[in-house]
Amino acid sequence: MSSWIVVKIGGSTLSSAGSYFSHAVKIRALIESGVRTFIVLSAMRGVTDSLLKLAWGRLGELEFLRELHYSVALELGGANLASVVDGILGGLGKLASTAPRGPALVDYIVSHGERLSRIFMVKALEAEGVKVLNVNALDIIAVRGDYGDAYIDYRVTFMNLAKVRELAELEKASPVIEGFIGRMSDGSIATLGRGGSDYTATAVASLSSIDRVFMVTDVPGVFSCDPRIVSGVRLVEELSLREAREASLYNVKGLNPKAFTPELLKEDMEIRIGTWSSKGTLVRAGASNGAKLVGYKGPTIALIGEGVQSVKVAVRLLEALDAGGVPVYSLEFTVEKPSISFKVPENLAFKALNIAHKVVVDG
Amino acid sequence: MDVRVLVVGFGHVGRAFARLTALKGSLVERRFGVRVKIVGVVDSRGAALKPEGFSGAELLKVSEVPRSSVCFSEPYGVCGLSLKSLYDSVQPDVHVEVTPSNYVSGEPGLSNVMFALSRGANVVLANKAPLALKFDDIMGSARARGLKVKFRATVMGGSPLIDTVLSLRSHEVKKVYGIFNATTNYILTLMHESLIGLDEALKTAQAMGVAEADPSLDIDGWDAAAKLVILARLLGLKLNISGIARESLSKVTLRDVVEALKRNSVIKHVAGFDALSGEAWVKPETLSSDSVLSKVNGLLNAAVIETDVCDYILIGKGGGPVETAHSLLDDIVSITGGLI
Ligand SMILES: NC(=O)c1ccc[n+]([C@@H]2O[C@H](COP(=O)([O-])OP(=O)(O)OC[C@H]3O[C@@H](n4cnc5c(N)ncnc54)[C@H](OP(=O)(O)O)[C@@H]3O)[C@@H](O)[C@H]2O)c1
Repeated sequence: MSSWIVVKIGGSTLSSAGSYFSHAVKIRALIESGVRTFIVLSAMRGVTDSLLKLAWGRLGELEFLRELHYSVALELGGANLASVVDGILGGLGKLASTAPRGPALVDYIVSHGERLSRIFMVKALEAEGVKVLNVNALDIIAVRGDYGDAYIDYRVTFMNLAKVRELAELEKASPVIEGFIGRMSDGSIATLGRGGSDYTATAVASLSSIDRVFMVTDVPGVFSCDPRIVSGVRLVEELSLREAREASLYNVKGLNPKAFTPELLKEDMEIRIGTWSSKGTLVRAGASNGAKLVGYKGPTIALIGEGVQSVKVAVRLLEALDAGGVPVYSLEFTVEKPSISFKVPENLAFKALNIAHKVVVDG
Repeated sequence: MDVRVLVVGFGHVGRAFARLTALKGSLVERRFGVRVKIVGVVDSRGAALKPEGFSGAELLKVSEVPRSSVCFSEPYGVCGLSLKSLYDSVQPDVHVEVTPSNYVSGEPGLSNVMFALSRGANVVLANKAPLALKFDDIMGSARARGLKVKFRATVMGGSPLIDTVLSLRSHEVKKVYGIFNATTNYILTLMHESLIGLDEALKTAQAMGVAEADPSLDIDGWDAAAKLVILARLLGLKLNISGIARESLSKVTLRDVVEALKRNSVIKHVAGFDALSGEAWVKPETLSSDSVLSKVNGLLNAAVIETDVCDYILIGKGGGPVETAHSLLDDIVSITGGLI
């Protein structure tokens, strides 16, 4: 196992200068324990949504963006940094109010959440005495496809990342890069879609032959179902790469489909999702079998876990749903996927989720 | 072999060059035996200097400081130094000139380049103005001192057009023409694809960082004209920027575009010169949609070189900071000979 780890700092954990400092302290501790870190940054909490609204002409968002970023900049880099940040946001405001809108411009504006976040994280790390390689994602992450939902060009990005790794090894420095954004071949900026920073993180790891990823969030890990709908959810300790991939397709929070695309997931990869202090959920090959979580996408509900795709589990599930008075429109499973998916009437979907979740809890 | 490089101008291209050198320096050293050491970067207010050469991490860091403030970057920043004092302290082998192009006076590039040569530094330019205005003086000064001047980044900055033209040693070039300005081509592409007027297309181009706040150098054809001068001088033709007939793109309306489209044609801002007649022009032209140039869109540029032997067409990136930075680095390697 290499001594490198990709640490992706989730936006939900970034809300103040203090939050950047506390991540920096943890990262320094990791480095001091002999681990090399490659850090991927998200925008601060609420910033991407706010920038999106700004890009679509809601100029009132500037106030929130200014207030949030200005105070963080002031604390991390003094009046100089605060005025730079102010200038950047002022420029975005001007663009949003005068330039004709289009997907490329929207992405250009939205990309600034991550770009500002990188500036802040670099400041905090430097204040902690961490030697940083301040890497501009636009130099490294090559992307293709549509604005707002681009995908990473693995070949070009692989070549670029090799240079970052080489320089980082040579100079014993920790690369810090923005997630969520990349450069199109015409030089414009494109974003990778929801959860794009997770995608950057697993791509950086996979393409740099780094087998460990830590996705730092504000929740202790992945839950067995959506806690807003189902009570008694529990933390999933382990998922196989296949299970994580399957779960990501059913809106399970913390798992992003692009981040778990099969071509990125190497067999020896371990992805931990959680807070700095929690054990979190570990995604790795060789995780134990059994029903682990329930996800849903529109009218389709899925019971997920290696080994659930069997007649025995399907019958148990159908019996439980029948006993609960939930008719099943269709149910399917195949040996290739670690899941059973089924459709129920829309008005009974929450009830069905609870019943399916009970199957998970009962083992 | 170590090559000490001073980067004068630290905007889009200068910074892209610093980041490129940080990331690809080792690759270049392995392949060509040339270790490119950036010893100083300079903007309009001052410089950051490190006579022993910046490390990769330092280059990445200085590339992220706000505009006009390299001189405040700790611990290497110095504000308001003259070029002479900069040279005294870092003694570069190669001077990279990436200040803004000014086609009236050529400054600050012209004085910088002449000074660099007088101090024995080879010169690599992305700034076109010094060459467009004083090509012979610059080359004469370099020749007299046994120094080299390279400028692949000045015309189709992201593509090897200059090298291609220089390599046609036994050909007689009859005519060179093409699309040499990425900004106007981007604007025209937007006008044709989105059916919007020039003003709106220009605003979009500005928003995307493709056009300058003052786009007149591009729109009025100065930039393309300067590139024609450089190409012509390469071929030994005495073309002056003032002798080029320029027609601004600003007169092209959405109605013109629609009319052209109806006739299965497109409008392009074409620049060229006829080596035999000495005529040179930059002007909007209506091209049939099956011509090669009509298909060159967005930020791409194209050059058609007609010679007595055959014709050549080069289509590629017109500029862009990253692409232009690569041309600068390639020029530096070629000045120093490289292993291959
Ligand atoms: N952008 C491209 O894709 C491209 C492609 C090919 C060629 N070029 C040419 O390359 C040159 C640079 O382009 P750019 O896009 O990087 O321009 P830019 O972003 O405007 O940068 C110009 C830089 O020159 C600095 N500068 C201005 N006056 C100076 C002086 N007297 N002494 C030292 N530095 C001075 C500016 O300082 P401040 O930062 O303090 O303003 C700035 O750092 C131009 O001549 C352009 O025509 C550009």
